[in-house]
Amino acid sequence: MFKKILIANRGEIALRIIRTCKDLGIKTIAVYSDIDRSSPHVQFADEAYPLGGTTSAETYLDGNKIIRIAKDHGAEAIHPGYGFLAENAAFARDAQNAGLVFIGPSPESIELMGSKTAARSLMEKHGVPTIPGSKKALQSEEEALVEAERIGYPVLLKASAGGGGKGMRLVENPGELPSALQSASREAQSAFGDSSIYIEKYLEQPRHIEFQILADSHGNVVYLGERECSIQRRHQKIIEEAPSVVLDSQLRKEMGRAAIQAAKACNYLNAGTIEFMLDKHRNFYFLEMNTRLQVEHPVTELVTGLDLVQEQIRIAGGEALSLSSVDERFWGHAVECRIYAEDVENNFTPSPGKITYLKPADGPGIREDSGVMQGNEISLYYDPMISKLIAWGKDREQAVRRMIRALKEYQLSGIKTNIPFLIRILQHPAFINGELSTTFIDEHRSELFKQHVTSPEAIGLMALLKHINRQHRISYRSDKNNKTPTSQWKMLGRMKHTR
Amino acid sequence: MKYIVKIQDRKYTFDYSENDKKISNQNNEPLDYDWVELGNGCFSLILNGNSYICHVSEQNGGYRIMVDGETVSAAIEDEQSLTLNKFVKAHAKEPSEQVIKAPIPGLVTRIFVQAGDKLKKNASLLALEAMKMENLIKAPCECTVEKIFVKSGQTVQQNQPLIQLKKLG
Repeated sequence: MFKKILIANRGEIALRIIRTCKDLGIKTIAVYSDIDRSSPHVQFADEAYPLGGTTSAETYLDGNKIIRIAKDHGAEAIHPGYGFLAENAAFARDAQNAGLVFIGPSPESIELMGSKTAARSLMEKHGVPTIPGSKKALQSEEEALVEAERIGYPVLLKASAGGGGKGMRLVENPGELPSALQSASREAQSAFGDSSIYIEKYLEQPRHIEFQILADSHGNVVYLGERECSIQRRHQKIIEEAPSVVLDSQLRKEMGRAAIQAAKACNYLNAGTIEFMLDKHRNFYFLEMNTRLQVEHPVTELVTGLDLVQEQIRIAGGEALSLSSVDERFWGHAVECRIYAEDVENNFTPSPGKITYLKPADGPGIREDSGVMQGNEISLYYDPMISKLIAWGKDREQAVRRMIRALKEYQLSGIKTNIPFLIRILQHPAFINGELSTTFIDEHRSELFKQHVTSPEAIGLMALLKHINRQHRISYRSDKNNKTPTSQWKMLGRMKHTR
Repeated sequence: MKYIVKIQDRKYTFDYSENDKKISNQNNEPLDYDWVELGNGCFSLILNGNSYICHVSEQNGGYRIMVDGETVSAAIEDEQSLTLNKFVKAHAKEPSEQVIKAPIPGLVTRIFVQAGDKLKKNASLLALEAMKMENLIKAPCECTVEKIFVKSGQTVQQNQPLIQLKKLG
């Protein structure tokens, strides 16, 4: 087992990895950007070293700096978390060349699965079903129009190097295609440094169902069941759960086998996720493989009782898997909500600022993987996800009820979050009935964006008390400065005379 | 003094006595209330025996209140300011020039217009990137572009002026 690991990440995932390392008695090294000095991952690691700088490019994406810190301070392995360098084959290779263990798959597997078009042709070769679409990156607008016509509208434009919904656009007719193509490639360029875009058929009312797999260096590959991540906004997952309400044991086995097939096709090592789309007719298609730990891995942990980060570290250390595929042995049900710093009432624009008050939820069945503390500044430089709340219950109903309770209990001031929106989704009859699809939010837009004001008198009184209190404080301050507060009537008089 | 609190499109009137801090509602019922600040922006309110945890922040001269997981905006006017506003409104002309300000801090990645351009409503003005997402800023009405205050590649703060528009018609 390793003695010391460097965590090349920030936020909740860095802290989550540090926690498992502590459980295993492994020392941890955190790295941080200038503005992350007060972030919890820095406080809870055994050692912490500055990366110098603020932007992602000069900090968490600077592989050379990170490898140098790892070598200088005696780390044996690097855990990349998700995002940043987690799916960067060059970084994985550099780390290996520097004599460090990269906790993840080989650079070759990352490369193979990182190019979505290459991944898709590999899957086709190995008999894993894929969505109809262009096999390679589009060279021109004309080519895009021809391809889209061949596949049939609606079509989806996607970044070849991408993930997480960035550089992705839905196009319903030829008229929308040129501008969508331009803006998608701009977004892809800024997010991944690669502007290439490909096109594929857009499935109607599809569910996003993914399989967690683990592969060791002894040739064993197992799957740990599925996660349903159909609740998405702009192709970003916001609510995930395990197990999925639509999978029966036969379909689960079929998809699990395809997932293992996919992992074997790229000689996969360590934890990975095979994402599938499942359409109305229960046909499943390979979407992509994420060659890293997923944001939503905790729901799998809660229903299997495993610690996936621990499994990752053991696999990277060369140990053989001691478990077999999990399909019928789920323990209850788990739901995860991603808490984002964003303003729901203002078209989900990011809401940066200082967290002035924070009291997270807890109680029976609640786990929180948070990356922030009271007093932290949420900056514009990184992802707006600040925390993940995960609820476990003996069944789906209990898990969802617990999640709603926890979200209502969650106390956070200073920035806006999507908590009200998450509650409205979880309370929606279609969600409760398990009628999910990746278009859920668009379909139920009118109900999901409606506020439910339950106790207006209390809210009105609260606003009034704050208002009166504020006025008093202002006049108090004026008194201290030996100035009498200016009467609004006097100002009115002055305005009248200056006209 | 009487205060009118506007929540969504409904109005609630409260009467506040500055001497004894007693408050009654619009039905002249005295409210049995008690409140304490738990932390910065977080308050506990007990109203007629019902307990609430509220987060209150100031927003555009009004308040933003989070109770039981829901967030509500409230605007408050007292008798004085109500009279004042009526007066000001009666004398103010609707401005034909409008400065578009940055709704969020971010990076200007592209500017689609030039000074002098005539635009239709919802025409894209510029792209603002924040937290790795591109946000398009659009024209609120039919207008011409008067001035552009920013350059592509520039970082802007929230409420920083971006573009000055002149309303057409």
